[in-house]
Amino acid sequence: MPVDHRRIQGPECSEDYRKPKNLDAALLKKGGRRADGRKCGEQRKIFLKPGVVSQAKGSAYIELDHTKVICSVFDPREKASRNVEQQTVRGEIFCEFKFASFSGVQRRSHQQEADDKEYSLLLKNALEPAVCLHEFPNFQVDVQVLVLQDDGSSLAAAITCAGLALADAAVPMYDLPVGLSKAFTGDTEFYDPTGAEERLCLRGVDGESDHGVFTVGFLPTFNQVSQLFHSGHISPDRFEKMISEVGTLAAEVHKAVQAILLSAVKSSIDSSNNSKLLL
Amino acid sequence: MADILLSEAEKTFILHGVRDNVRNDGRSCSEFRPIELELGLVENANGSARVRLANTDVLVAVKCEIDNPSSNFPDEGKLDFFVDCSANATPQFEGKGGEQLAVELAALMSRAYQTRESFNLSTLSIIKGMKCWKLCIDVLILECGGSLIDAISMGTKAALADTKIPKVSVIGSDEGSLELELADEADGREEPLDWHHAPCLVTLNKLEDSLLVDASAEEEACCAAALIVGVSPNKKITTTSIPGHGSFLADSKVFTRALNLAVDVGVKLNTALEAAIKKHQTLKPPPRGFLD
Repeated sequence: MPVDHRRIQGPECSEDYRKPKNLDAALLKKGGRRADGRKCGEQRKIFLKPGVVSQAKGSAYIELDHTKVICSVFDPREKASRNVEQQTVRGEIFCEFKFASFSGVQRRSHQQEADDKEYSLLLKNALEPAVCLHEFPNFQVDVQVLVLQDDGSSLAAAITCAGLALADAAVPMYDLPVGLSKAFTGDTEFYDPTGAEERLCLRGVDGESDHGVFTVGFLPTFNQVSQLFHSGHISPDRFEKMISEVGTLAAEVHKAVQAILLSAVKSSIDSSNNSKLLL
Repeated sequence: MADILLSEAEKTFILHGVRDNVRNDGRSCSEFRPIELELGLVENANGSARVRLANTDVLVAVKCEIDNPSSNFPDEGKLDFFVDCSANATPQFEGKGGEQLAVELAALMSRAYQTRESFNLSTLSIIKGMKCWKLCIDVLILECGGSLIDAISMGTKAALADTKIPKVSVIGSDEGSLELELADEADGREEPLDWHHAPCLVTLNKLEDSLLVDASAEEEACCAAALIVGVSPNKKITTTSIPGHGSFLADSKVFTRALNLAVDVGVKLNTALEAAIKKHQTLKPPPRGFLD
């Protein structure tokens, strides 16, 4: 996204008239079901589609109920290196993460804000261990992620989506990275939280000391955690216990991504066979 | 971080030493390098601190401004982090070079201080829904020698301890117009912040099976993965992050060791830092040159 260095933006003084919907903590205790009817350990239904952007080398679109993320991956291009000494034997992934201006209740700037830049770095750290960087030395692969609608777990969705987009772009990889997120407050744990659940758990409920949200970037085949991003207040034992559950939770998402990738490859082979027949 | 080029022989030397729990400078794997702390250096700031951790030099200043609270949290103040990687530290930080690192560090610090258990923002409120204090925490990196985030977190905690906010009283209750009266410095009516629960961030670098605390720049160049853990004085974890391109085995044994070590070291660091701050505040050492 081009950054405008010449103009100085005045302070924003207008605000959206709506406030983001917040959850009432008391509702969670009744019946054990969340606001959208899921159980605490249930993932939202995933819709994943590769090859949605025709101009990009590879792309993918993911929908987790109301969270919608699109990712495009472009051909490797030569890295603009500042120092001649910085020529290395490794390539680079350049990630750009952006929340669209209309993705949340409050309008966001069309240029990258602080949290967009933070998420770009986190996404890069999550994807790098999965990609064979030595296969394209001195080149960089651009990964552009755009969150069209944010209803919680957008970084986790972006990791999964970017993984599929990289595979769709035929970038050599060791594994398909998968993103997961969990929010917790007191004894309640929400797997794949919605925006309201995330906000509740970041604030914490009065009287409950442990609370927070964490996002994990996971490589299922090698059982490696490539990114562990957490914010909150938690005891170390509780934290370890949650990390140990990550493997089983990721397996479900991983299977879905693999199945989709397989069917995409099969259909592209079929269509190329058909076009040969026409000739 | 500044790039260090190491030969394979140097890396092997470091690795063999670490296996025997001995590092190049004689420390064990869980020891910090000597830390120097100075408070109250910057006259124009409400609070400041300088931390020197061996080769890493960080200057943190806190400035207080009166601001309107956000409409989502009308009874809370604001905390804003800004990190400046100065070109003094290394020529790679010239111009835009240090921007990415600066963004990463600032984001990590804001996340560590995000919850009210770490820092209670409601103590910064002046008039609910109308006026609040905004603490602008500016970090200047003067020298870069490994363990940047550790030094920054210590400096931030110390600077917050040094910060005094003038007491504010509301005079005049005409409808719609409010006047705030700030106590003068000379009156001595300044109150300190509640900084005791602020976290310290500890970076653990993983070299084969060992975990290194406070890795020097050479050791960082050898390590495959790192884990940053924010630890508050009551043994809770406020933030974690895996920087760089490393990854960890999702084996709970690895994380158990890493988290336990981080919490252990973090709590000790918090205690030592509090003791040093208290000593500095009671003894009031004589003024020295800025970078003496």
